[in-house]
Amino acid sequence: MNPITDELLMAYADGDISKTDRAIVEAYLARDPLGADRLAAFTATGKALADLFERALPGPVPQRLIDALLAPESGDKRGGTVVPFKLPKPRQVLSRVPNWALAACVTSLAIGSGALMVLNQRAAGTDDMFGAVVSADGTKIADTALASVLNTIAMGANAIQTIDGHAASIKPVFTFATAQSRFCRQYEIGRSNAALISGVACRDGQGRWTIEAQEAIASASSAGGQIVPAGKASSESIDALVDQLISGDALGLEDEVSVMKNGWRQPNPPKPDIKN
Amino acid sequence: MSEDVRTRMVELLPRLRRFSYALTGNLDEADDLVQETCARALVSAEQWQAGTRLDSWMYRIAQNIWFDKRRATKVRGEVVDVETALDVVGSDGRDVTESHLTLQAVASCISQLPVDQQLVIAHVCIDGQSYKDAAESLGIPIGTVMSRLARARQSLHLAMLANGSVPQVASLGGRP
Repeated sequence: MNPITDELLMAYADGDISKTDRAIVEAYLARDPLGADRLAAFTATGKALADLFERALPGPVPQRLIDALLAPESGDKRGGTVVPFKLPKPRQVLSRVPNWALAACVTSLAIGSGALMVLNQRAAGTDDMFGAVVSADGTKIADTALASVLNTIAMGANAIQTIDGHAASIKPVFTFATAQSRFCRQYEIGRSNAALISGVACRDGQGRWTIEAQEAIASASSAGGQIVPAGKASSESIDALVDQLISGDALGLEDEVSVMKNGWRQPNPPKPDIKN
Repeated sequence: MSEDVRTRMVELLPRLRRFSYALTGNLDEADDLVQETCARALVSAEQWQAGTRLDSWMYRIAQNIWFDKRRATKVRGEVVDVETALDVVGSDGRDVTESHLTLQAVASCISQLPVDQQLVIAHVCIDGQSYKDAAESLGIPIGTVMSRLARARQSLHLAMLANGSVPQVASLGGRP
């Protein structure tokens, strides 16, 4: 008769066992040479497995999974098309593109790092409306794709979206608050074979991003197909608009993330001046 | 759904990923499963009752999706070739280290078990739940969890012996 069941041995291996049962199992292991072999199946598949999975699983958690939860429209299939390149500093944008991100999004291959622009081939008259729609009340607002990036992607990171059938790399450049405590973001939209777009959008009370300005901008020369860091390009009129709207300083990354997590409201009771 | 719940879901992602990996035996499929689970969790967020366990609820969503998938594709019985599995690890630029290889080999062994056995292993061995918690998560008696789990681990151990992934697992605390 063998009173030591597999379940009891397993519980012993897992340490999920009463004192009395532990003594019974230990007595069994001491007297029966087969005991060690039986036990091996459970020691090799218990805590050791959990450790292995915890230690060896390639990490970190892919950004697309985080975005699947944090993006407002992630309930639909569109969630899968947002492929942010999570990069803490704009400077690194060109050098660090995770392989998985490229593999995950074929469209991203078309525009490489996302900051590559080939200039002066824009389709006339559409740049100021690229990524924009006119709402029922006549306001020019960000479309779903642009809005999802403005809602969820931190400054300096790129996200690939499909807009009007074109792959576009959208990068929020920085975030600031207005004197009316609205949050605004300057952004850039890169497309293959078209001019870089720069714009400023502000979030309104209905959660929409109203486009305050958007235009194609000239950039430093991209002769020979050189990649031009998007940050070098600028637009005087956009810069002037930002100067006009901004109250205090632009938000730091931490502040930006906490505002973002708070649904684009001040984490604290609203004050007219968020900074300084 | 409150931002707080979303944040808690994000915090669960590493565990959910391991759990899904135990079911799929393939990292890319695991991440797809996690993503689908997240999407479904958000859509049906009102079905989750505050005060109950969010992790169990999300695991349940994941395993339901996985059940449906396996039923649809009849993955069961399809042998996951270890060479192919290793190639998957190596080809996408991730570090190929010994522990990753062991992980891949073990995961492919788990993925070849019957689904009910996979589930108890995922809950207890991978996620580290007690038998009691696993019984609650799965909605089956604790005695069933234990007998099913014991059988599953014996089969898994044999499979691991067969593909040589046992020694590395056994020496986890020892060699680097």
